[in-house]
Amino acid sequence: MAFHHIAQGEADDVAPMATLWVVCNSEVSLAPTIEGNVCNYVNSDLYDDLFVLEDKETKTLCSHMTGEALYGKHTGLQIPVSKLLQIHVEQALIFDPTMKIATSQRPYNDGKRSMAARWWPDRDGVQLMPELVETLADEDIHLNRMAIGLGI
Amino acid sequence: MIVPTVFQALLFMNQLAQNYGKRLLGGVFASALLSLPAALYSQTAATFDIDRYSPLGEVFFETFYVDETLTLQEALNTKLLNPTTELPVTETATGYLALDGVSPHRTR
Repeated sequence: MAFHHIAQGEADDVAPMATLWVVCNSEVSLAPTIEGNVCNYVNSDLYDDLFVLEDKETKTLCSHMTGEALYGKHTGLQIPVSKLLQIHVEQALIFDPTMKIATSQRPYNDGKRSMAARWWPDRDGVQLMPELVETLADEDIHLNRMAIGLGI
Repeated sequence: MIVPTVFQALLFMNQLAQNYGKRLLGGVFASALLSLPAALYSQTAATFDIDRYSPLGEVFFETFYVDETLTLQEALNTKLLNPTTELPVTETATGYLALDGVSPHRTR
């Protein structure tokens, strides 16, 4: 998932979908349907420095965290969202000994250097590319750019 | 700057509550607090600004199309995973489904 970010398809006659963005620190399960029709999603471009889901057929852009259709034909509609569990293999087998796994054939990192390694917020002196900064709205100055915190 | 503005508003309301009775304004205060997440989260259709949409990331990642599965035990037995590998797990109509490759720490 780290090198796909979106999983979708048919396994055991169901159409699951999950999104997981390591750097965005976001992961959710989704039922890839809008108005009862199954949609196929791809990683689209960036907004708020976050990847956006794009419905291949209608080009509608959707939030990968809330499932809300942001722009395009389905604007304002909602992909149903639920929790994506995060669990170790040994814990998963205790939880459900019959649990199945979908494995990707994509080679580890495809032999390329990870973008995340270069842009990890904890690294000193690393700046976001200008193309990324342009996607940001007004920033909260209480924390450094891209730092993660909980505002109360 | 949404956060300082909202924060100042909450402080003001808290001051009013102290001066004029907590019960009267407690409900208003709680409502404002509950509305914070929506106010702070900018990725909504209502606030979407296409001018901030960048084509930079279009080709980085490809969707993982799931068409076959094996049991976790099989994956463990064949050392595709190790017991401490962290997995994302989604619930489907027929049960739980783990997805491969959550982090760069996986065994392959």
